[in-house]
Amino acid sequence: MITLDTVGKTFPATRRQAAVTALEDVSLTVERGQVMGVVGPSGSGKSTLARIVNLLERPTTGTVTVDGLDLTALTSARALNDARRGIGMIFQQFNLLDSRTALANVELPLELAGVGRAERRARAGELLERVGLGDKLGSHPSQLSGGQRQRVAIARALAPRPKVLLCDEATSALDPVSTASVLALVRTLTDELDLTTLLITHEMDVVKRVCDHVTLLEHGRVVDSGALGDVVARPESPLATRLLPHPGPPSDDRAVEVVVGGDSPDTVLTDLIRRYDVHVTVLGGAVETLGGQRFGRLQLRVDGAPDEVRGALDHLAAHQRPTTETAA
Amino acid sequence: MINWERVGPALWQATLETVYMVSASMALALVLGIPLGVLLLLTAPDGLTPRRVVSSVVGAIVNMGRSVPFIVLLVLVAPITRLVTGTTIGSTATIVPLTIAAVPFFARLVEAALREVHPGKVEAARAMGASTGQIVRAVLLPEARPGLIAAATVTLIALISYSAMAGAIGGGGLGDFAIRYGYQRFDTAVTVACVVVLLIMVQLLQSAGDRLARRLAHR
Repeated sequence: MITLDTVGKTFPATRRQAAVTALEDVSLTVERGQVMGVVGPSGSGKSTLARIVNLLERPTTGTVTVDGLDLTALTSARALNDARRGIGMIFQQFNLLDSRTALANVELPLELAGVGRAERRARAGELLERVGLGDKLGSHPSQLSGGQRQRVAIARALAPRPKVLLCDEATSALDPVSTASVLALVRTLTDELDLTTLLITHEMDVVKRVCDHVTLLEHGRVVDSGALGDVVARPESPLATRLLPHPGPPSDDRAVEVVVGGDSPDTVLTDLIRRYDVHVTVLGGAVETLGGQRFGRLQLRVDGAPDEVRGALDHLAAHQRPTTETAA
Repeated sequence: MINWERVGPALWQATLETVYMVSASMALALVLGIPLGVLLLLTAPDGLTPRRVVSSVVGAIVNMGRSVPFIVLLVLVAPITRLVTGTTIGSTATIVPLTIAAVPFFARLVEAALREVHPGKVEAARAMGASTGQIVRAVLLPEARPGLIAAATVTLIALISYSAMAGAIGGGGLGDFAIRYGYQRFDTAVTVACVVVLLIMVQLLQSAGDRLARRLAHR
């Protein structure tokens, strides 16, 4: 649904500062229905990346394809504006119009697209109802809380029935409770409306809650990318331990570290003990819910007869997501 | 003491002349100044459609208009005044220099008011696929409304003050009246009466402007 191919963005030098390369050789694909989180330290080019997808920033090199349409190839402003209607966007500062009521704010993109008044009004009302603000149609943004404003912004972004939703630090200005409810809303709407969502954030916690895929950006380059379950199990992945904390150095030289959970059954230890005559000691571990699935990083010590231990370790290797193995 | 029977109707006449000159030139300033302010904003180097040449030419003309003292402008634009109104004296003739002074003044204030609109709102509109014209009409002008009202109030009050110089070309109005009846006939009471009328006018306009701006602010 969203494909960035070797995208680069360099801001030209100005009188005050030298040229800045915000993105370099970024290739990224978000499949239909996915929620892709893009994380990275500030200045890593995350926001530029979001703004490249709807060409608010035109990439210096590479191509941007959304829903099969190469946006970078569009030459007329009109064609680009039409394409942008298929891409909703929400922002850290909400960017609602203070002079308009919640209802009129949601109507705005429809107004711009030339939708008639009655239809516009009905659609906006229905969307505000859907984001839980059915009783706030006539309120101005100043009368709403941060979380409510972001909900209005979500309704506004979805009004023209886009296929893609871009969230640029959408919860960074919100308190924890509003953050949780806005994220839940983004996830629900993505699933129900068959959206594809690209979510820019600096908080790993946001990724853990709503994303199923994640990309790490550093100095304008993609350092790591993949499905949460895969990333978590890859020992060399810089994201793995940030998603699922490392329990610390093993206290036993026979410790085996495994990553369990995700789409594989959550019954690793039970199976292990039932099939093999071994004692299993949990030396350390962490369990996290990532994108709705439970993952655990466990440090185990397996004791017993050498054959049984070997069998047990093979079982772990075959059925789970082993990361590091120390010979018993 | 003032002979109200004689001065009263004349004072009323002068007040009407001032209202006439000021409101006509303000109307023209609105019609011409808003588009000009939008043009200044859009073509600026950091604007939505940067045009270096247009921006610097229009900017230079606007600055020129603002740097000429009104009393000089009054004389300077006399040929234009004659061309437009057929005469260079009287209230109607004064509207021409008043407008020429007000447009660049107001245009700069409009530009500043539009600049106050948070760039994020413009960006959100761009992300929705809004054209530049749509951004101006649906985002910039409505969001800047409180600032635009304040700008119009300031311009209106400046126009009242400028219009007092119209006496120099026989333009009529309160300033003219104060000079002719008050100063030249050594009747200070008339001057004071004119000042009081002007004071009331300015006070009323300022508080009406403030109230309107506040009501539209929604902040």
